[in-house]
Amino acid sequence: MRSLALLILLVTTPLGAPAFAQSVVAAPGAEATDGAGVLVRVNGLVCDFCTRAVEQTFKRRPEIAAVSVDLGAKTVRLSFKPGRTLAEAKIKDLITRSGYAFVSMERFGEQS
Amino acid sequence: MAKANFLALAAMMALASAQHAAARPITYPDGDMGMVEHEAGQTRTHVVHTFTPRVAAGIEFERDEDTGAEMVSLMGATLLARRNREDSQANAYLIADIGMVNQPGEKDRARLDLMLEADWETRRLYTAYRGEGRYIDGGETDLDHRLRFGVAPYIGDYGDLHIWAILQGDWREQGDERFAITPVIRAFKGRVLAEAGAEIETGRPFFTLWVYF
Repeated sequence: MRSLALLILLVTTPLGAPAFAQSVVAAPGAEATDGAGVLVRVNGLVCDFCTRAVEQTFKRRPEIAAVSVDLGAKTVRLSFKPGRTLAEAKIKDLITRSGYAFVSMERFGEQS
Repeated sequence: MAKANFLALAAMMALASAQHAAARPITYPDGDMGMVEHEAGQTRTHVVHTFTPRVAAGIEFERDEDTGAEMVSLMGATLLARRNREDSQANAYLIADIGMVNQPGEKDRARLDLMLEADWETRRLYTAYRGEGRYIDGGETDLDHRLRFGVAPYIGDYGDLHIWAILQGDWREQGDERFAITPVIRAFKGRVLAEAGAEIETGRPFFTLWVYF
């Protein structure tokens, strides 16, 4: 059992690294904004690790300033860069390509 | 004869698909993942690239500490089915490895591994099945099964450290230890997932480390 305790210590120590401590992730070169965006309701959001697929998929889009996931509310919040937006069909396609099921979405803020 | 063995193996894998299973070899299009798995004296290292929402491929290196056998292989994975529900997700994958086994004192042999994995989970519960069949050039076959049941002692938010307590049961067609029960602790945060445990009977360690790039 001592080897088990040592293994658990070894594998969980790097998990506390602050590099992974963000739940709101800004896309590269963009500042998170409270401006326009969408709140997308998604089915299948049960696993934090697997849901990284959604985050990574949207972070790569040039229209996106920040992505945040709420597992409890089963939503993905996308904030757009100023003057940018994404069509509902594209959002639905990206959610599907991430491996999840789009349910609905509502826009917030002043859309361009 | 070898063909008949392979067909029998494929049939067993198909039958296994009626049950349940564990692991997510497919991430997201253009996503990369590295995995290290150590169990029953064997260490597997994979690097996998996801091409489409349903297809991933990569390379794998495996080493058996007991026999000294090493295998380098190409791996392909496909998502057979996924069911997204409001509070749950279920997946089924088919994974194939084909490569060459090098064992000290023996000639190199081709090996084909077929794995069927399926899982179902909520934020609180997790269950998975993995059936793995092997065919080695010359007619040797092998079939392993794994069942897992897990529970999360607390439900964390996105970005938190998540902990799961998992009970893993293995049935192996070959080897000294045919049945093994392994308590496993799974922890993940961000893009890093790790598991650690030890077989109850033998104390042999089990661990995995997955990283999304």
